[in-house]
Amino acid sequence: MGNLIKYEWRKQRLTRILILACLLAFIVLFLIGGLIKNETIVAVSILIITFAGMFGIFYVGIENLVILNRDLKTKQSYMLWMVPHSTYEILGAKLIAGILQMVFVFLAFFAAGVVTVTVTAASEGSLGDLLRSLGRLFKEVTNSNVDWGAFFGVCLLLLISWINVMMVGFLAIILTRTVLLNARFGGVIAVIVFFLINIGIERIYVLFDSLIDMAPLGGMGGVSLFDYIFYIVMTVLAFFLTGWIADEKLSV
Amino acid sequence: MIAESRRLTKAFMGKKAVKDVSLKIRSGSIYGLLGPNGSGKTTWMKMMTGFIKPTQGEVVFDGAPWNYRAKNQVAYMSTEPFYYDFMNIGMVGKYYSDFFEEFDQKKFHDLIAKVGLSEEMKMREISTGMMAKLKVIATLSRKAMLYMLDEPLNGIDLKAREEIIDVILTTVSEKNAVIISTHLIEEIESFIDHAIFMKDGSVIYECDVEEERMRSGRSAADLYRELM
Repeated sequence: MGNLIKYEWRKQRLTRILILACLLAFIVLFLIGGLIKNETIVAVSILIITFAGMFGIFYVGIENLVILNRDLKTKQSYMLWMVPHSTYEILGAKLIAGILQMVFVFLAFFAAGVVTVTVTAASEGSLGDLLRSLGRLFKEVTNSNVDWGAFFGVCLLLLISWINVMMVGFLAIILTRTVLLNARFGGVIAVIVFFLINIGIERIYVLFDSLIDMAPLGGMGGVSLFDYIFYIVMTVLAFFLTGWIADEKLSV
Repeated sequence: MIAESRRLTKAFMGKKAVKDVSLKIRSGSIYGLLGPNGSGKTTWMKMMTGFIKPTQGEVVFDGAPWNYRAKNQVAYMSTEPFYYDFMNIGMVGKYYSDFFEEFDQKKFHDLIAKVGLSEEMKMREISTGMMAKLKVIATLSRKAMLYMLDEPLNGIDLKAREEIIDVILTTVSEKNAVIISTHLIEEIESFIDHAIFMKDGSVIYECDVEEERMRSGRSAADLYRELM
């Protein structure tokens, strides 16, 4: 399975290079702002790094779906389905490669964000003063320093729920290439199914949340453990349903 | 017996592309799967290799019902190019060796050099003839029990055809079988042992080429002209 992940990871190499090139450009912009002491440029570059990071994670998830669709629609599908691995391993490798890609983008932008904000906060000038004031304000309001546990807790939940959305996307694509293959407007139906499943998952979440007290389960940084478990279980269910349909029905 | 197709049928939107095909593939033979375009040859081959799920029927490989592990022993070459765009020829060899334990790297490298290809050549840059040679070499560098080549001689010049046929002949042994699908009967009739004729999704005739020649005096090409 390692080899499957390796080649899936290779398929998004160009995207990684482009994302890192953009990140480098934003850092250069930040440095230029620092050198010429232009706080507007520094502030804009920090903002861009923050939003580009979020967009980057969103984009690589979507690209993973595009690659799966392409792998099924073109003759390159033979490259995947000729190897002696089960459908579950092939789909699992795609999912893991997608997760690794998202983690990679997150870590790259997180590191850049921490460095740029720390450097700015330590510097002289109104932007540095602003960041230090924000830090003090945060400390007074929360009566603590930055709660990294809460930060990573929220990030982890966002990552898991985005993985869940991606897995539902896998399911919708497999449906398009199997049971909806000969249906008129099969692609449109698959998109509708994608949204319906995601809405359904949220409804189930709300239902569980209202019926059962999840507080005793505990959590991480203010995020309930139930939230993690719920989205992981939904992802696993979507994965096995996708694998089963592909195993039974998929022709490439 | 290496593989068996038991009443294989495939329908696309209600139209049957392959109808009730039963065949037994034995080791030590080269089979010619012959028929015009649209006769069901490719669909049947893809069912035998697990790419297409049959509507009805069953594939038995090495005595057991088909499952994904059989792909270790079945080497299929499609008529269309299918390698990833980011690959060069060397990476194609690496891909096969990463996934197929029995892949013969030395044979691959030697044959690539022999037919005048370079491992640095990228997929986007190579011609139809080069791609045809690469596909055959990569497929036949695997140590499989069953090789299935879909139109391996399509769109390539005479010299390349001779090179490909040479590679095929050096691969076949008593432990494996090769199935070659084609409508270019004259190109393969000199070296195939068995001929399977397909038309409109059905097998309409099957014979041992040499026995048929002795019995009725007809070559595979004569039969093709008669049957199609």
